[in-house]
Amino acid sequence: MEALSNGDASSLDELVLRYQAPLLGFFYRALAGHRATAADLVQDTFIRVLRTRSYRPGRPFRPWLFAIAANVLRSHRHAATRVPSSAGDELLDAAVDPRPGPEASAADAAFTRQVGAAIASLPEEYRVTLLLRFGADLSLAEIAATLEVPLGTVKSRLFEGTRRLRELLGNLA
Amino acid sequence: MNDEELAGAIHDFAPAPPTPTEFAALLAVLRYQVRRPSEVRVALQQRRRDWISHLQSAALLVAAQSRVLGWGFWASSAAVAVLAGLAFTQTSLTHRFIVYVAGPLLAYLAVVFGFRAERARVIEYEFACPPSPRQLTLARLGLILGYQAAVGLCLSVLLSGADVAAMPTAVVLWLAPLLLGVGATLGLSFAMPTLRAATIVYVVWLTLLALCARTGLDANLISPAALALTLGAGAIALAVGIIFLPRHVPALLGHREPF
Repeated sequence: MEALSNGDASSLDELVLRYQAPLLGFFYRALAGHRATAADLVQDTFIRVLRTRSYRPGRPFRPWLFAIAANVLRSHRHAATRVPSSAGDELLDAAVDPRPGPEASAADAAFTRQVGAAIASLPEEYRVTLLLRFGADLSLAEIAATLEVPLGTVKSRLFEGTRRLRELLGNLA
Repeated sequence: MNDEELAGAIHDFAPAPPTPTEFAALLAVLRYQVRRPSEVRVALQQRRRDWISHLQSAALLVAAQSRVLGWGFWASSAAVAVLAGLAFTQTSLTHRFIVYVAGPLLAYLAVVFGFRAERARVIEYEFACPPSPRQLTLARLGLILGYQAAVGLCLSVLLSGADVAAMPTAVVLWLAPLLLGVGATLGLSFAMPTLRAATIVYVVWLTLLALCARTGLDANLISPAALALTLGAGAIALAVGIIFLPRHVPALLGHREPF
Protein backbone atom coordinates (compact mmCIF):
# COMPACT_ATOMS: atom_id res chain seq x y z
CA MET A 1 0.00 0.00 0.00
CA GLU A 2 2.90 2.31 0.79
CA ALA A 3 4.50 1.59 -2.59
CA LEU A 4 1.18 2.22 -4.27
CA SER A 5 0.72 5.57 -2.57
CA ASN A 6 4.19 6.48 -3.83
CA GLY A 7 3.00 5.93 -7.37
CA ASP A 8 4.37 2.40 -7.86
CA ALA A 9 1.69 1.02 -10.17
CA SER A 10 3.24 -2.48 -10.23
CA SER A 11 2.29 -3.02 -6.59
CA LEU A 12 -1.35 -2.80 -7.67
CA ASP A 13 -1.08 -6.26 -9.28
CA GLU A 14 0.14 -7.70 -6.00
CA LEU A 15 -2.63 -6.00 -4.04
CA VAL A 16 -5.37 -7.28 -6.35
CA LEU A 17 -3.83 -10.75 -6.57
CA ARG A 18 -3.77 -11.02 -2.79
CA TYR A 19 -7.15 -9.55 -1.89
CA GLN A 20 -9.53 -9.96 -4.84
CA ALA A 21 -10.58 -13.48 -3.81
CA PRO A 22 -11.07 -12.76 -0.07
CA LEU A 23 -13.12 -9.68 -0.86
CA LEU A 24 -15.16 -11.54 -3.45
CA GLY A 25 -15.87 -14.23 -0.85
CA PHE A 26 -16.91 -11.63 1.72
CA PHE A 27 -19.38 -9.91 -0.60
CA TYR A 28 -20.60 -13.15 -2.17
CA ARG A 29 -21.54 -14.56 1.24
CA ALA A 30 -23.09 -11.29 2.37
CA LEU A 31 -25.23 -11.08 -0.79
CA ALA A 32 -26.49 -14.64 -0.68
CA GLY A 33 -24.47 -15.73 -3.69
CA HIS A 34 -24.96 -12.86 -6.15
CA ARG A 35 -21.57 -13.18 -7.75
CA ALA A 36 -21.80 -10.38 -10.33
CA THR A 37 -22.89 -7.85 -7.70
CA ALA A 38 -20.17 -9.13 -5.39
CA ALA A 39 -17.57 -8.58 -8.15
CA ASP A 40 -18.87 -5.01 -8.64
CA LEU A 41 -18.52 -4.33 -4.93
CA VAL A 42 -14.97 -5.72 -4.97
CA GLN A 43 -14.16 -3.17 -7.66
CA ASP A 44 -15.83 -0.38 -5.65
CA THR A 45 -13.79 -1.37 -2.61
CA PHE A 46 -10.48 -1.26 -4.49
CA ILE A 47 -11.37 2.11 -6.01
CA ARG A 48 -12.16 3.45 -2.56
CA VAL A 49 -8.85 2.02 -1.29
CA LEU A 50 -6.97 3.89 -4.02
CA ARG A 51 -8.82 7.13 -3.47
CA THR A 52 -8.80 7.31 0.29
CA ARG A 53 -5.70 8.53 2.09
CA SER A 54 -6.64 7.33 5.54
CA TYR A 55 -4.24 4.36 5.59
CA ARG A 56 -1.26 4.92 7.86
CA PRO A 57 1.91 2.87 7.23
CA GLY A 58 2.46 0.30 9.95
CA ARG A 59 -1.25 -0.10 10.64
CA PRO A 60 -2.57 -3.65 9.98
CA PHE A 61 -3.80 -3.67 6.40
CA ARG A 62 -6.49 -6.37 6.46
CA PRO A 63 -8.75 -4.74 9.09
CA TRP A 64 -8.43 -1.42 7.26
CA LEU A 65 -9.33 -3.07 3.95
CA PHE A 66 -12.30 -4.95 5.37
CA ALA A 67 -13.50 -1.82 7.16
CA ILE A 68 -13.75 -0.22 3.72
CA ALA A 69 -15.43 -3.35 2.36
CA ALA A 70 -17.97 -3.27 5.21
CA ASN A 71 -18.70 0.39 4.41
CA VAL A 72 -19.13 -0.44 0.72
CA LEU A 73 -21.53 -3.25 1.66
CA ARG A 74 -23.47 -0.89 3.95
CA SER A 75 -23.74 1.72 1.19
CA HIS A 76 -24.90 -0.95 -1.24
CA ARG A 77 -27.57 -2.17 1.20
CA HIS A 78 -28.66 1.39 1.85
CA ALA A 79 -28.97 2.12 -1.87
CA ALA A 80 -30.74 -1.18 -2.48
CA THR A 81 -33.39 -0.44 0.15
CA ARG A 82 -34.08 2.94 -1.42
CA VAL A 83 -33.96 1.92 -5.08
CA PRO A 84 -35.44 -1.45 -6.06
CA SER A 85 -32.94 -3.54 -8.04
CA SER A 86 -33.46 -3.20 -11.74
CA ALA A 87 -34.42 -6.05 -13.96
CA GLY A 88 -31.08 -5.57 -15.73
CA ASP A 89 -29.09 -6.30 -12.58
CA GLU A 90 -31.07 -9.42 -11.91
CA LEU A 91 -30.62 -10.58 -15.49
CA LEU A 92 -26.91 -9.94 -15.23
CA ASP A 93 -26.61 -11.95 -12.06
CA ALA A 94 -28.58 -14.74 -13.64
CA ALA A 95 -26.57 -14.64 -16.86
CA VAL A 96 -23.17 -14.59 -15.23
CA ASP A 97 -23.72 -17.26 -12.63
CA PRO A 98 -27.18 -18.45 -11.81
CA ARG A 99 -25.85 -21.02 -9.37
CA PRO A 100 -24.35 -20.23 -6.00
CA GLY A 101 -20.88 -21.28 -7.21
CA PRO A 102 -18.73 -24.39 -7.26
CA GLU A 103 -20.67 -25.67 -4.32
CA ALA A 104 -23.46 -26.44 -6.79
CA SER A 105 -21.50 -29.45 -7.90
CA ALA A 106 -21.14 -30.68 -4.35
CA ALA A 107 -23.47 -33.19 -2.81
CA ASP A 108 -24.73 -30.76 -0.20
CA ALA A 109 -25.44 -27.95 -2.66
CA ALA A 110 -28.94 -27.43 -1.33
CA PHE A 111 -27.69 -27.10 2.22
CA THR A 112 -25.02 -24.62 1.16
CA ARG A 113 -27.66 -22.50 -0.54
CA GLN A 114 -29.67 -22.60 2.65
CA VAL A 115 -26.62 -21.37 4.53
CA GLY A 116 -26.36 -18.45 2.09
CA ALA A 117 -30.02 -17.58 2.51
CA ALA A 118 -29.76 -17.83 6.28
CA ILE A 119 -26.68 -15.57 6.39
CA ALA A 120 -28.42 -13.03 4.18
CA SER A 121 -31.41 -12.92 6.50
CA LEU A 122 -29.31 -12.09 9.56
CA PRO A 123 -29.22 -8.49 10.80
CA GLU A 124 -26.31 -6.48 9.40
CA GLU A 125 -24.10 -6.40 12.49
CA TYR A 126 -24.28 -10.17 13.06
CA ARG A 127 -23.86 -11.02 9.38
CA VAL A 128 -20.76 -8.86 8.90
CA THR A 129 -19.17 -10.09 12.14
CA LEU A 130 -19.76 -13.73 11.24
CA LEU A 131 -18.44 -13.27 7.71
CA LEU A 132 -15.33 -11.47 8.89
CA ARG A 133 -14.66 -14.26 11.38
CA PHE A 134 -15.52 -17.38 9.41
CA GLY A 135 -15.36 -16.10 5.82
CA ALA A 136 -12.40 -13.74 5.89
CA ASP A 137 -10.63 -15.51 8.78
CA LEU A 138 -9.99 -12.32 10.73
CA SER A 139 -9.09 -12.62 14.40
CA LEU A 140 -11.42 -11.18 17.04
CA ALA A 141 -9.04 -8.25 17.58
CA GLU A 142 -8.90 -7.60 13.84
CA ILE A 143 -12.71 -7.62 13.63
CA ALA A 144 -12.88 -5.17 16.53
CA ALA A 145 -10.44 -2.89 14.66
CA THR A 146 -12.36 -3.32 11.41
CA LEU A 147 -15.75 -2.49 12.85
CA GLU A 148 -14.37 -0.02 15.40
CA VAL A 149 -16.21 -1.69 18.25
CA PRO A 150 -14.92 -3.11 21.56
CA LEU A 151 -13.69 -6.70 21.66
CA GLY A 152 -16.56 -7.63 23.97
CA THR A 153 -19.07 -6.43 21.38
CA VAL A 154 -17.43 -8.62 18.74
CA LYS A 155 -17.68 -11.64 21.05
CA SER A 156 -21.31 -11.00 21.88
CA ARG A 157 -22.19 -10.43 18.22
CA LEU A 158 -20.44 -13.66 17.27
CA PHE A 159 -22.27 -15.55 19.99
CA GLU A 160 -25.65 -14.11 19.12
CA GLY A 161 -25.03 -14.34 15.35
CA THR A 162 -24.03 -17.99 15.64
CA ARG A 163 -27.09 -18.72 17.78
CA ARG A 164 -29.44 -17.03 15.31
CA LEU A 165 -27.82 -18.70 12.31
CA ARG A 166 -28.08 -22.10 13.97
CA GLU A 167 -31.72 -21.42 14.71
CA LEU A 168 -32.43 -20.34 11.13
CA LEU A 169 -30.70 -23.37 9.70
CA GLY A 170 -32.62 -25.56 12.11
CA ASN A 171 -35.89 -24.04 10.91
CA LEU A 172 -34.88 -24.43 7.28
CA ALA A 173 -33.88 -28.03 7.84
CA MET B 1 -24.85 -28.34 14.49
CA ASN B 2 -21.85 -27.26 16.57
CA ASP B 3 -19.79 -24.09 16.09
CA GLU B 4 -17.14 -25.85 14.04
CA GLU B 5 -19.67 -27.26 11.60
CA LEU B 6 -21.35 -23.90 11.33
CA ALA B 7 -18.03 -22.18 10.58
CA GLY B 8 -17.31 -24.87 8.01
CA ALA B 9 -20.71 -24.30 6.38
CA ILE B 10 -20.06 -20.55 6.09
CA HIS B 11 -16.59 -21.24 4.76
CA ASP B 12 -17.92 -23.69 2.18
CA PHE B 13 -20.45 -21.17 0.90
CA ALA B 14 -17.78 -19.63 -1.31
CA PRO B 15 -17.73 -18.27 -4.85
CA ALA B 16 -15.62 -19.61 -7.67
CA PRO B 17 -12.20 -17.95 -7.48
CA PRO B 18 -11.73 -14.92 -9.77
CA THR B 19 -10.84 -15.93 -13.30
CA PRO B 20 -7.76 -14.47 -15.09
CA THR B 21 -10.19 -12.44 -17.22
CA GLU B 22 -11.83 -10.96 -14.13
CA PHE B 23 -8.42 -10.25 -12.64
CA ALA B 24 -7.27 -8.46 -15.80
CA ALA B 25 -10.53 -6.50 -16.10
CA LEU B 26 -10.32 -5.32 -12.50
CA LEU B 27 -6.68 -4.32 -12.93
CA ALA B 28 -7.53 -2.36 -16.08
CA VAL B 29 -10.15 -0.37 -14.18
CA LEU B 30 -7.93 0.20 -11.16
CA ARG B 31 -4.81 1.21 -13.11
CA TYR B 32 -6.68 4.27 -14.27
CA GLN B 33 -7.30 5.22 -10.65
CA VAL B 34 -3.66 5.02 -9.57
CA ARG B 35 -2.13 8.47 -9.20
CA ARG B 36 0.94 8.84 -11.34
CA PRO B 37 4.05 10.48 -9.88
CA SER B 38 4.53 13.97 -11.26
CA GLU B 39 7.71 15.37 -12.72
CA VAL B 40 8.24 17.37 -9.52
CA ARG B 41 8.10 14.25 -7.41
CA VAL B 42 10.49 12.39 -9.69
CA ALA B 43 12.90 15.31 -9.51
CA LEU B 44 12.64 15.32 -5.71
CA GLN B 45 13.41 11.61 -5.56
CA GLN B 46 16.56 12.11 -7.61
CA ARG B 47 18.19 14.33 -5.01
CA ARG B 48 21.82 13.52 -4.23
CA ARG B 49 24.12 14.35 -1.31
CA ASP B 50 26.94 16.25 -3.04
CA TRP B 51 26.37 19.93 -3.76
CA ILE B 52 26.77 19.75 -7.56
CA SER B 53 24.09 17.11 -7.80
CA HIS B 54 22.09 19.05 -5.28
CA LEU B 55 22.24 22.14 -7.51
CA GLN B 56 21.38 20.02 -10.53
CA SER B 57 18.40 18.53 -8.76
CA ALA B 58 17.31 21.99 -7.57
CA ALA B 59 17.41 23.19 -11.17
CA LEU B 60 15.46 20.12 -12.24
CA LEU B 61 12.95 20.82 -9.50
CA VAL B 62 12.46 24.42 -10.60
CA ALA B 63 12.14 23.31 -14.22
CA ALA B 64 9.61 20.66 -13.26
CA GLN B 65 7.62 23.14 -11.15
CA SER B 66 7.66 25.56 -14.07
CA ARG B 67 6.45 22.92 -16.50
CA VAL B 68 3.61 21.92 -14.16
CA LEU B 69 2.24 25.46 -14.40
CA GLY B 70 2.11 25.29 -18.19
CA TRP B 71 2.82 27.87 -20.86
CA GLY B 72 -0.65 29.42 -20.49
CA PHE B 73 0.24 30.76 -17.06
CA TRP B 74 3.55 32.32 -18.11
CA ALA B 75 2.12 33.81 -21.30
CA SER B 76 -1.08 35.23 -19.79
CA SER B 77 0.77 36.65 -16.78
CA ALA B 78 3.35 38.29 -19.02
CA ALA B 79 0.60 39.73 -21.23
CA VAL B 80 -1.23 41.23 -18.25
CA ALA B 81 2.03 42.59 -16.85
CA VAL B 82 3.03 44.14 -20.19
CA LEU B 83 -0.33 45.88 -20.54
CA ALA B 84 -0.31 47.13 -16.96
CA GLY B 85 3.36 48.12 -17.27
CA LEU B 86 2.55 50.18 -20.33
CA ALA B 87 -0.25 51.83 -18.35
CA PHE B 88 2.13 52.56 -15.52
CA THR B 89 4.32 54.73 -17.73
CA GLN B 90 1.42 57.13 -18.07
CA THR B 91 1.20 59.51 -15.15
CA SER B 92 -2.54 60.03 -15.18
CA LEU B 93 -4.60 58.54 -12.38
CA THR B 94 -6.65 56.32 -14.69
CA HIS B 95 -3.58 54.49 -15.92
CA ARG B 96 -2.33 53.88 -12.41
CA PHE B 97 -5.79 52.63 -11.68
CA ILE B 98 -5.30 50.02 -14.43
CA VAL B 99 -2.23 48.78 -12.60
CA TYR B 100 -4.41 48.40 -9.54
CA VAL B 101 -6.77 46.22 -11.57
CA ALA B 102 -3.92 44.18 -13.03
CA GLY B 103 -2.23 43.26 -9.73
CA PRO B 104 -5.10 41.18 -8.35
CA LEU B 105 -5.71 39.80 -11.83
CA LEU B 106 -2.19 38.36 -11.65
CA ALA B 107 -3.05 36.97 -8.21
CA TYR B 108 -6.18 35.39 -9.68
CA LEU B 109 -4.17 33.83 -12.52
CA ALA B 110 -1.60 32.59 -10.03
CA VAL B 111 -4.24 30.82 -7.96
CA VAL B 112 -6.05 29.36 -10.95
CA PHE B 113 -2.86 27.93 -12.46
CA GLY B 114 -1.02 27.12 -9.26
CA PHE B 115 -3.62 24.93 -7.60
CA ARG B 116 -5.08 22.70 -10.25
CA ALA B 117 -5.11 19.62 -8.06
CA GLU B 118 -8.15 17.87 -9.46
CA ARG B 119 -7.32 18.37 -13.09
CA ALA B 120 -3.58 17.70 -12.84
CA ARG B 121 -4.05 14.42 -10.90
CA VAL B 122 -0.47 14.37 -9.68
CA ILE B 123 0.69 13.01 -6.39
CA GLU B 124 2.46 15.98 -4.88
CA TYR B 125 -0.77 17.91 -4.80
CA GLU B 126 -2.16 15.21 -2.58
CA PHE B 127 -0.19 15.21 0.58
CA ALA B 128 2.31 12.52 -0.37
CA CYS B 129 5.43 14.47 -1.27
CA PRO B 130 8.83 13.85 0.39
CA PRO B 131 9.18 17.43 1.71
CA SER B 132 6.18 18.76 3.56
CA PRO B 133 3.14 19.96 1.63
CA ARG B 134 3.75 23.39 3.12
CA GLN B 135 7.26 23.51 1.64
CA LEU B 136 6.00 22.50 -1.76
CA THR B 137 3.07 24.91 -1.66
CA LEU B 138 5.29 27.74 -0.50
CA ALA B 139 7.81 26.94 -3.24
CA ARG B 140 5.06 27.18 -5.79
CA LEU B 141 3.66 30.37 -4.27
CA GLY B 142 7.17 31.84 -4.25
CA LEU B 143 7.74 30.88 -7.86
CA ILE B 144 4.43 32.30 -9.00
CA LEU B 145 4.43 35.50 -6.97
CA GLY B 146 8.11 36.08 -7.69
CA TYR B 147 7.51 35.80 -11.39
CA GLN B 148 4.45 38.05 -11.33
CA ALA B 149 6.08 40.74 -9.23
CA ALA B 150 9.39 40.58 -11.09
CA VAL B 151 7.84 40.85 -14.54
CA GLY B 152 5.61 43.72 -13.47
CA LEU B 153 8.36 45.63 -11.72
CA CYS B 154 10.94 45.17 -14.48
CA LEU B 155 8.50 46.41 -17.08
CA SER B 156 7.37 49.34 -14.98
CA VAL B 157 10.90 50.47 -14.19
CA LEU B 158 12.06 49.89 -17.74
CA LEU B 159 9.18 51.78 -19.26
CA SER B 160 9.39 54.64 -16.78
CA GLY B 161 12.95 55.30 -17.95
CA ALA B 162 14.70 53.69 -14.98
CA ASP B 163 13.58 56.54 -12.76
CA VAL B 164 14.96 55.67 -9.32
CA ALA B 165 12.53 58.00 -7.57
CA ALA B 166 9.56 56.21 -9.12
CA MET B 167 10.75 52.77 -8.02
CA PRO B 168 9.24 52.68 -4.51
CA THR B 169 5.87 53.70 -5.95
CA ALA B 170 6.21 51.06 -8.63
CA VAL B 171 6.99 48.42 -6.04
CA VAL B 172 4.05 49.33 -3.86
CA LEU B 173 1.62 49.77 -6.73
CA TRP B 174 2.39 46.29 -8.03
CA LEU B 175 2.91 44.48 -4.81
CA ALA B 176 0.09 45.84 -2.62
CA PRO B 177 -2.94 44.61 -4.58
CA LEU B 178 -1.09 41.44 -5.63
CA LEU B 179 -0.36 40.48 -2.03
CA LEU B 180 -3.85 41.45 -0.89
CA GLY B 181 -5.40 39.35 -3.67
CA VAL B 182 -3.32 36.26 -2.88
CA GLY B 183 -3.69 36.65 0.88
CA ALA B 184 -7.46 37.09 0.74
CA THR B 185 -7.78 34.15 -1.65
CA LEU B 186 -5.70 31.93 0.63
CA GLY B 187 -7.82 32.84 3.62
CA LEU B 188 -11.08 32.34 1.77
CA SER B 189 -9.94 29.07 0.20
CA PHE B 190 -9.91 27.47 3.65
CA ALA B 191 -13.69 27.62 3.54
CA MET B 192 -14.46 27.00 -0.14
CA PRO B 193 -12.90 25.66 -3.38
CA THR B 194 -9.82 27.63 -4.39
CA LEU B 195 -11.10 28.71 -7.79
CA ARG B 196 -14.32 30.07 -6.29
CA ALA B 197 -12.33 31.91 -3.62
CA ALA B 198 -10.07 33.50 -6.25
CA THR B 199 -13.06 34.55 -8.35
CA ILE B 200 -14.88 36.08 -5.38
CA VAL B 201 -11.81 38.01 -4.28
CA TYR B 202 -11.19 39.40 -7.73
CA VAL B 203 -14.83 40.33 -8.33
CA VAL B 204 -15.05 42.04 -4.93
CA TRP B 205 -11.84 43.91 -5.66
CA LEU B 206 -13.10 45.10 -9.07
CA THR B 207 -16.42 46.15 -7.53
CA LEU B 208 -14.58 48.13 -4.89
CA LEU B 209 -12.46 49.85 -7.53
CA ALA B 210 -15.53 50.62 -9.64
CA LEU B 211 -17.32 52.09 -6.62
CA CYS B 212 -14.29 54.22 -5.78
CA ALA B 213 -14.07 55.45 -9.36
CA ARG B 214 -17.76 56.24 -9.46
CA THR B 215 -17.75 58.15 -6.18
CA GLY B 216 -14.54 59.98 -6.99
CA LEU B 217 -12.58 58.25 -4.27
CA ASP B 218 -10.05 56.69 -6.65
CA ALA B 219 -7.45 59.35 -5.80
CA ASN B 220 -7.74 58.39 -2.15
CA LEU B 221 -7.41 54.71 -3.03
CA ILE B 222 -4.02 55.27 -4.64
CA SER B 223 -2.85 57.65 -1.94
CA PRO B 224 0.30 56.61 -0.05
CA ALA B 225 -1.74 55.87 3.07
CA ALA B 226 -4.18 53.64 1.23
CA LEU B 227 -1.35 51.89 -0.56
CA ALA B 228 0.48 51.26 2.70
CA LEU B 229 -2.75 49.96 4.22
CA THR B 230 -3.34 47.63 1.26
CA LEU B 231 0.25 46.40 1.39
CA GLY B 232 0.03 45.79 5.13
CA ALA B 233 -3.33 44.02 4.90
CA GLY B 234 -2.04 41.87 2.03
CA ALA B 235 1.13 40.92 3.89
CA ILE B 236 -0.82 40.05 7.05
CA ALA B 237 -3.42 38.02 5.13
CA LEU B 238 -0.65 36.14 3.31
CA ALA B 239 1.29 35.49 6.52
CA VAL B 240 -1.82 34.23 8.34
CA GLY B 241 -2.68 32.09 5.33
CA ILE B 242 0.78 30.54 5.29
CA ILE B 243 0.75 29.91 9.05
CA PHE B 244 -2.56 28.05 8.84
CA LEU B 245 -1.71 26.45 5.50
CA PRO B 246 -0.71 22.93 6.70
CA ARG B 247 -4.05 22.43 8.42
CA HIS B 248 -5.95 23.46 5.32
CA VAL B 249 -3.81 22.18 2.47
CA PRO B 250 -6.31 19.44 1.50
CA ALA B 251 -9.12 21.97 1.12
CA LEU B 252 -6.83 24.44 -0.59
CA LEU B 253 -5.85 21.84 -3.16
CA GLY B 254 -9.43 20.87 -3.87
CA HIS B 255 -9.22 17.53 -2.06
CA ARG B 256 -12.45 16.70 -0.28
CA GLU B 257 -11.53 13.42 1.37
CA PRO B 258 -10.00 13.33 4.86
CA PHE B 259 -6.30 12.54 5.06
